[in-house]
Amino acid sequence: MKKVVLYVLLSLVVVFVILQFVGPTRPEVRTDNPKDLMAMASIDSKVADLLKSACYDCHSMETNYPWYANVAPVSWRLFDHIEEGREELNFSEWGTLGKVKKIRKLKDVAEEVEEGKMPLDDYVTWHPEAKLSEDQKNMLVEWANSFAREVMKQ
Amino acid sequence: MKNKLTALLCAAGLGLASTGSLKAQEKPQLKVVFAESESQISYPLDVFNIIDSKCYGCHSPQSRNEDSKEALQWIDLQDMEAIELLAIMDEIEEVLEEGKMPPEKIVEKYPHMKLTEEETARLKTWAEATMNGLAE
Repeated sequence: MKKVVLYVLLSLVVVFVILQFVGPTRPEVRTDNPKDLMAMASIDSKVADLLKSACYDCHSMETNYPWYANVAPVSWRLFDHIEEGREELNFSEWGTLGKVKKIRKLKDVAEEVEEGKMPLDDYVTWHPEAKLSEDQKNMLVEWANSFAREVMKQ
Repeated sequence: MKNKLTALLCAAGLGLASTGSLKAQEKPQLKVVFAESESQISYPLDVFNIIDSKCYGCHSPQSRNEDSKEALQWIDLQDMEAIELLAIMDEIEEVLEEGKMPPEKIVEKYPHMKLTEEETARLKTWAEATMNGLAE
């Protein structure tokens, strides 16, 4: 009996080790982003800080990978979120968007934040600093809406 | 000019064909507005017909599907600010591009509800033209 348990545990360890060498690759990180939102527009520093701490890990090229990004299979889920997040909205590519897309994205930001869909619960669990207070939520929503109006006038 | 006028219908008119089965008093307010209307959105007749037959069933006040009502209400578009309208039109174009609507389930059940390639292309051209007009 004891032997069986030992074998099961051992094989689990072996599988876990193998997992570390397979699976998707980590999305790239780039720190030089001339088309980044922050480089293209002057954003209030409070809003900028909030965007950086609550959104930029998944919605820009400047991802700060946490330690568990090195541990499969958790990392796979993380990579997935980042890929998806960048595809949906990548602040590092802000300057490449046309007027209509910018407005659409800002309206989406306002909606997602207002409804509490973003930042993702998963993310907030591991990044408590990304949990938005009501004030912070309002600040982001107001910023997104007023920036959209600004873009509209351009 | 006359052709252009008659071809442009306002969103509220969308209930026209789809409410045929409802009793007269249940019909939503219908109105036909021409190009001079202050509304920032207008529907050429062919676009109107596609929306009416393939989208309006779920995206209208009469719909029994709360999700689709919340996601898009055609009749609300005419009263929207340009900026809101722009965002919605971009979303409509994206949904068309990805072929998400009408939903697969509906199309499985009612194959005739599927948007043909021509219809999708027509709606997309219209959405783009509307957005360009708004963004100017």
